[in-house]
Amino acid sequence: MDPSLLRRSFLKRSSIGSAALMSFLKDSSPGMIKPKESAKCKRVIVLCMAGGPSHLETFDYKPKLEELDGKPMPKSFTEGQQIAQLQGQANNLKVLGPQHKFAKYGKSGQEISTALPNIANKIPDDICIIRSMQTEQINHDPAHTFMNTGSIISGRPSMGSWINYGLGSEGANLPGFVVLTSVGGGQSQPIAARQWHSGFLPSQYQGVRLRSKGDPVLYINNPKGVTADRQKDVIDTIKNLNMIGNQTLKDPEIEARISQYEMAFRMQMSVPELVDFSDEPKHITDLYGTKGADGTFAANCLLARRLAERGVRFIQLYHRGWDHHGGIKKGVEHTAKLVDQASAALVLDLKERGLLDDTLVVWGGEFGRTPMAQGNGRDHHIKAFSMWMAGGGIKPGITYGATDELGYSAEKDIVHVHDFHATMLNLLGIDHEKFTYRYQGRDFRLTDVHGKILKDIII
Amino acid sequence: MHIPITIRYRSRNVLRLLIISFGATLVTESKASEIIEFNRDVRPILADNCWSCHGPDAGNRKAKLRLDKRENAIKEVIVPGNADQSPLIQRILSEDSDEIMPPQDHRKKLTVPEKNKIVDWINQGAKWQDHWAWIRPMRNNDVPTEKAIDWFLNNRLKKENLKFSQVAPAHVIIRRLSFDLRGLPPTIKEVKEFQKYDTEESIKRAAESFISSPSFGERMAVHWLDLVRYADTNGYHADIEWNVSPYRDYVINAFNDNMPFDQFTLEQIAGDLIPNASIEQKVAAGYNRLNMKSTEFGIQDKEYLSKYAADRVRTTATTWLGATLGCAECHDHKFDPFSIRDFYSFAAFFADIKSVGYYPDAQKKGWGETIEVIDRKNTAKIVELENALKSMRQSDILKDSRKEGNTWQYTFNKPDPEWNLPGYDDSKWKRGEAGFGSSETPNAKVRTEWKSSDIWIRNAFDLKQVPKKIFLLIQHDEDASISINGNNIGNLKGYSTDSEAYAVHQIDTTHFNTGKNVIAIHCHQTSGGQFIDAGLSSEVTANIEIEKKIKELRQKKRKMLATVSVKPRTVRVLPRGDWMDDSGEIVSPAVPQFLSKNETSSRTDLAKWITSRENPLTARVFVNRLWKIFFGNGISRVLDDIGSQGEWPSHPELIDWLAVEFMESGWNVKHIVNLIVNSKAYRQSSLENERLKVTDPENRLIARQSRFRIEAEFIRDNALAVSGLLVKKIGGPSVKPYQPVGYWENLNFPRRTYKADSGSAQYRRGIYTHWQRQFLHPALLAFDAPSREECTANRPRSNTPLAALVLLNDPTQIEAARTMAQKTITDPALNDDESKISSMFMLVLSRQALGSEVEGLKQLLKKHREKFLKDPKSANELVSIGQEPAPENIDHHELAPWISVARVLLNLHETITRN
Repeated sequence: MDPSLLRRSFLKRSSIGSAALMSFLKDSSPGMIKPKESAKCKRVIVLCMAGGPSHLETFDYKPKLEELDGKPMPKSFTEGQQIAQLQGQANNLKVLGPQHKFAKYGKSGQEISTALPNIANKIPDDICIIRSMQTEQINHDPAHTFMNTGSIISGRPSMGSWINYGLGSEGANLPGFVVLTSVGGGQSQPIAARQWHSGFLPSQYQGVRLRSKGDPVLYINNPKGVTADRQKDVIDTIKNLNMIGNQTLKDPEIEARISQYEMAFRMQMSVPELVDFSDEPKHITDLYGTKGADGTFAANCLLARRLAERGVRFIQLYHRGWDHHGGIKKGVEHTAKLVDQASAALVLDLKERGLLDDTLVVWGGEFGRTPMAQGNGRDHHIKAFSMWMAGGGIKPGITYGATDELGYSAEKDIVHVHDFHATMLNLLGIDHEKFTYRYQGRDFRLTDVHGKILKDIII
Repeated sequence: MHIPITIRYRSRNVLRLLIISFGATLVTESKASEIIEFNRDVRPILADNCWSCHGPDAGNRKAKLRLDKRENAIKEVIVPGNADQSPLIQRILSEDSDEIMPPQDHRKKLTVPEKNKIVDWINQGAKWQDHWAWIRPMRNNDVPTEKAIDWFLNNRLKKENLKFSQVAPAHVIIRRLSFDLRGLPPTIKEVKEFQKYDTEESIKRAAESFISSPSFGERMAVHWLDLVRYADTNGYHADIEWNVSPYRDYVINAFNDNMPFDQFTLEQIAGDLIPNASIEQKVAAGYNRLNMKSTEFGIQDKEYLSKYAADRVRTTATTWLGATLGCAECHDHKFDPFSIRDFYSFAAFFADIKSVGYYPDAQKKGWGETIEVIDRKNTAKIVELENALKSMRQSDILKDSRKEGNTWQYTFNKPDPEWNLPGYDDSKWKRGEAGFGSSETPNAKVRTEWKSSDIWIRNAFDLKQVPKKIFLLIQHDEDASISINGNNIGNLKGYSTDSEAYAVHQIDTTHFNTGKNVIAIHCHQTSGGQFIDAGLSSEVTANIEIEKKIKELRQKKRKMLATVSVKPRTVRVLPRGDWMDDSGEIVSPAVPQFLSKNETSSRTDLAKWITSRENPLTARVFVNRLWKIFFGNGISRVLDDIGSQGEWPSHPELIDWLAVEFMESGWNVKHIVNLIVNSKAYRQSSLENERLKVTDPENRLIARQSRFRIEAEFIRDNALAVSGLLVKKIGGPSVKPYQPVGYWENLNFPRRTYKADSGSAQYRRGIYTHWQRQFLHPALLAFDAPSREECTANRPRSNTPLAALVLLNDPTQIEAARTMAQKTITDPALNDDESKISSMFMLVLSRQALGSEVEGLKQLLKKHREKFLKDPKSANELVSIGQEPAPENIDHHELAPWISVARVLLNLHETITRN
């Protein structure tokens, strides 16, 4: 019998349940499975470039596209294919050449757009570029849902929740799944809380937003007029009375309640320290290009590293600024400026600290953009887009997969969203086919009934 | 690897040896005496381990072998009465990695006890049963209704040599009843009242009172709204507000009215199709419009229509059938006999609902058809005011003819121009009693017939003195010109609408004289009925106020997304669920074929079939979900899948008995609730003894009651109720409680800022909270309220630090604590700290505090008195949280430490636990 199942069924059937485990594993919350010994990676940082960055201006250079700039898009590519906002002009599609120059960088000679000079110059040999991504959803909201949950139906757990459910949290004072958002550089497409929801998994696995305005975590600040010591007095008295109540009941739920209040208080104590960058040396804040936790992508990247250091299992940053339907040249330039330096800084900083070996960094959006022009921009596109990954057991300095000559369809080594999920889980030591949760009478997986592990990009 | 079994098993002898070698040990190990019941013991094993490859899904069936039907299984791999001879057993016991089933690379493995069960079952004759839930529920009619629940539970307990636990203490039972039936804590008065009688009588009285209180509907609606995924926003992308709150109120009212569940079903699925449907029925049919919709630019209309269709199937099938028909969208169901064709045929029921996939610019243009609704309370209020008007509008100067006819001079022939002057001689005119009109005029009291186009009427009256105010009361159909003493005082166009409460117009009194006065009216009609009558009165000021009030109430109408039936869209089977694939066959509306072959064509047919005796599912699903409210878990714990992958019910006869009782009582929800809460099982203590901890840790046998956390909404309600802040208004538009700043920052199109409600709207029950699908209020979310993007049958009950932070720091909780503290310390009856603490304790927990508890709180009080005395700024800040201004008659440094005490009480595990 699969040991993971044993463990799960123990938890399910025993009257003690997770509550009691909580009380004797004080410093971390346990997961439901034991990762394989071959696990290369312990945590994941996803830099989600929300809005759908154009692969044709970032990581997928297409000389042929340049050649055909302004010419009609060959029908052979587009016939019978799904398009989004260009629906009305399906018979008048024109090619838009790459709006930024590309060059080869690093020892590995990775071909990267000049719009991303920091990624191109500082970390080309650390990243694995995937040029053959494909997804199934052509609009932002469902495409994000699909990228996060492997399904377009609401109510399914997001990948961060799955991973925390499986592996538990390493940190004593912070939740295991933290989400940060930033804006700038394009129209800010909305992001729903569904993207980090735990779906049918228990609620403690949902992502917790770390915010730059108001309370950094919802309700983390004491009520006005309640100082930390007075809050502690209140919590201590709650504990005291709960324990009196539990003398006769011996209820594991009460024990769990007590430990959750302790965790809440520890969070209250640790979050202010987390978002205070005064202990970071200047060369580090300069590396990221940030001054303090002000809600910019740069600040969020530094926070991501600080979260990783504190044992947070899954960290997800959204930068809501990549939806360039028009003015893509300037748009990409503008958005890239806001994310390029800090993205590279994060990889370098993690590497410097020896954290990159067991931290997987993922950079990419929910879909790509059309080789066809939408005015001077590009429409949503699902048949091809690019993504890069670094650390956590991923081969550095390689490019994987390829699109056709116009960057319309992924052709070589196609990577579906499910394959990305399968590979990520594999790096974390989780068998994506055996990692299930029973809901509505069915054993659900993050990868549904799909997913192949990309062995070629794993060390 | 999977060579068809028939070929592999030609040589029986070899395999027989194999069986004897290890099969024998297994067989002897298992208890031969145990009777295996297929549905309870074997079906779950086969379903979970075998059917994904050897089940109903024809497209993915391996080796052409079906193990979900006896006839196929027996033909191929099972020899009834002889496990040794059965290829099935050979395969599951095999040690050969190429032979073993499930295959070695399969995720599923059989355990030894599971293998034993299958062996025993075959040896006992391999008796097959249809899945329990697919068979119509039957019951033993000899069991007396009032005792049935206890009878079934006791029967099972006896088998296990167990019995019910002792009766819980009174304060526990009254809290249990109150939370279960109202979602609210009991008042101190209710707790005392409960202690007056013996338990049985007290429960009966309290249950009766709670079930008939309007809070019952609010409580029951919470779960229904989860199922139908009721929310105030569209869900996708922009997630903007829309108008559906009348539907929420309909559900609350329906539970309060104890509307029979079959009617409730019909009105929601097909209320718009009921002949002469009432507004409430049309509101109910809004069920069909609650699905998520999108206005994201660039989406494909057709793609989204198919998403909405699939959502409707999932929601309707889960809500009413407890079936996972939604799993058959891309292929035949893996475990249950639903085909992909069933899925699309079911979707076809809803194809007549007017809908598009893409709602362009919905921010301005909305989401399609709406209706306007005046809620029930306001409608009643309007009727009441109108009745008041009727009785008040008695004319004292010149009688109108509502009660008895007043006599006027009248003519149908155009008179001289001076016809309206006081001195005009009207003696040639006819005399007759008003009102004048034709009998076709609706609601008019015609005393003298008038059929031509015009009528002129005159009446003379005396005034002893001219009163301060004079009002004309008139019903006219159509245009009327009115003169007083020859002066035209008004031309009224069209017709007055209210036939009984006459229209009121104030007249300038300077037109009147002391002594003789003449009123003259010319009325002209163009088509339809006609009518004229009038009176004069000096005292109708109140009427104007009332009319204003009526007008205001009428303006309080709310919009509601409406279901409009149009020519049905063509529905095709979409191969692999692909909306771009038009190759599938066209289907017409039908319920899943294995459940019924009856002709069905409309939503009305669907609703009627759902609540017909032919459908084995709905009544079971409903009573099972009810059971969870009162015992913490369903009789089958899987509330959203009654199919093969669901859970075998702990008490199959009981669930069926309740289902039949539910149907035979006329789908009477309150009846079933009453049966449950008046049972002996319900009133047990929840304490588990050592034996139960070991033998029944999950309380499946109900040898005790259960303890569990109350729902998210009720946690809010509880704090508001015990502090006295709760505003007990039923229904109305959704409200916005305090919410952390910036929580909506990731919403766009448009960007928006949350604005918390002020005044009484701030203190409404949780069920009325604005339900933003993408960013549900964080205090609800932290306690497991679902986003309602999808149908949800089962809310989890988590216990997290985030929930702790809500109770500790949410301004709603702090304001409740402050209000409670304030009330307690200003209560003249409580004169020392101990009595104040005890009183608060009683208020929050409905029981006397223990000495140690009082002591713990006293210590906190003392400590914080010292701290706040030294820190007046903090005290001022703490007592100022919430919209109510800080009290001026209490020292803030004295109130603040009491707020700490109240906060502790609101945060206790016991406070938010239903025991």
